[in-house]
Amino acid sequence: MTAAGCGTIDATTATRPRTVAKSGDYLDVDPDGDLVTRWKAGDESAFESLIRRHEGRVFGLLLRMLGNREDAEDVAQETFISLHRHGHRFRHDARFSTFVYRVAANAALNRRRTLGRKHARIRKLQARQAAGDDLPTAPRNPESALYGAQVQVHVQEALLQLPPDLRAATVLYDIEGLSYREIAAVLEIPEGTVKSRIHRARSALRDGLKGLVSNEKKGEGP
Amino acid sequence: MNCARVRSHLGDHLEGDLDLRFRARVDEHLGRCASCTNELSELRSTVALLRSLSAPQPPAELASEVMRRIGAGEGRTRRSALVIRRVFDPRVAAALAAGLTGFAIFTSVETSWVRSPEAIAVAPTRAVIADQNAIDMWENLPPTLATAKSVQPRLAAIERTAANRFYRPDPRSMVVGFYGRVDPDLQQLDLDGQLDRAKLDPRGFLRQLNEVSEPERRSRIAPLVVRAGRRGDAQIVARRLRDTSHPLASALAAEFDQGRLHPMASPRAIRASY
Repeated sequence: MTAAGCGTIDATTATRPRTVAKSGDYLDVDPDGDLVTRWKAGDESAFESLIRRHEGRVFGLLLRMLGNREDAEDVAQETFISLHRHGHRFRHDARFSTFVYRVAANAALNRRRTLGRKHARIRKLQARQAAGDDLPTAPRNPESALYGAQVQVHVQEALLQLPPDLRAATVLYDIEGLSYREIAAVLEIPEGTVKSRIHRARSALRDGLKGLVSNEKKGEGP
Repeated sequence: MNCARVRSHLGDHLEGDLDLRFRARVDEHLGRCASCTNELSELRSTVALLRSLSAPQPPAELASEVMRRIGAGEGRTRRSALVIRRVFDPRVAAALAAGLTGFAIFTSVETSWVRSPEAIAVAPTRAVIADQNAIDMWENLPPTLATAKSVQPRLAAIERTAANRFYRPDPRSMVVGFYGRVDPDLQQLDLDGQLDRAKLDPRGFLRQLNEVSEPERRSRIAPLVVRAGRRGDAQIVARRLRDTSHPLASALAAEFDQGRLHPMASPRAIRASY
């Protein structure tokens, strides 16, 4: 299978892994095991550590799913509060990170569904502003920096045009680096469906980014 | 091997997921088909673009803000555990059912009403109705259920309130969410102060109310009735007011009695009662 699944292993883990997570037909050590155990025992600082370990990936997923920082921040907060409220149901039958992604993905899918397309124009504007904010303060090559930011905006807009279920699959796979198996666990769908959604998402993205893809091809040579 | 079959496997080809023999056949086709080769190239560029998206930096205060909200009682606390246990109490089940109905009605209320001053008055009611568990239920609906026709009207109602930035899971921030300048804690303190005064100095309380117009009086009393209902001392306030034999006392006492009877009544029902 692909090596993309390695993305879920946090190399910076400071705790000694102890809890074993069963995920399908393989056994794996959950890097969050100790923190989860401490938190369940009532250590709130362990929960804060769990937030800090996962906030980057959760926020990244939500930003790509929702398209603007404000919604992503709101839903990220709700995700972690929901985790705090329902985390006692986590049974170590998968990695804690999978559980986190599942809660975040469901929250994002529900938020997208409720907001609908009303704020499409606002999101577009915010995405452009965000791209401007992401510019380096003193770019060596302002033109290329601007081009890079514009490319990011186009890619984000193309992502937002995808149906949410396709978007979730491709964001988790291509951006967050989860494996098919992990995505299947997060979205609670069969692996075959994960693959098919990623395939359909990529095809749609390729159509949506036709101009960019062609430009890249020219720029990269044969 | 025809183009359609090759194209259906280009994703696996890109990921190196094809077995060697099949991959050789796909490569053989790609070697003589410019169209499929172009498609593979575009697909590769698309994936490269996706993977080039920069990792966004989460807000610096995300963890501390979450911990603050948890500390304020939004997480899993002893209180919420108590609420869960109470939900399973048959005596409370009926009241909760009424509350959830009220929640559904509230979320379908038009924006024009939400903007009215009475919204502030009934926001604490919603805090009772829309307990965290109810909010969670709507927020964490599985996608399959959320697309069910029966759920769509409720989601549409939540969408309307969400669009107005009024819908926030924290009942207190629901007030703050739209009425940014209103501090819910201060507002609650103010209501508590007025209720305490009604108990300690009912005549003074009534005299003050007597000086304002009828609509103004109603707008002042509405949140007090709701707050007294929540505090559980609406009956005491009503008794203190009746003891004064003030001209206004009887009518107001009846309203406080109503607050006691309907502490979880829907906003629509509360409005209808005035």
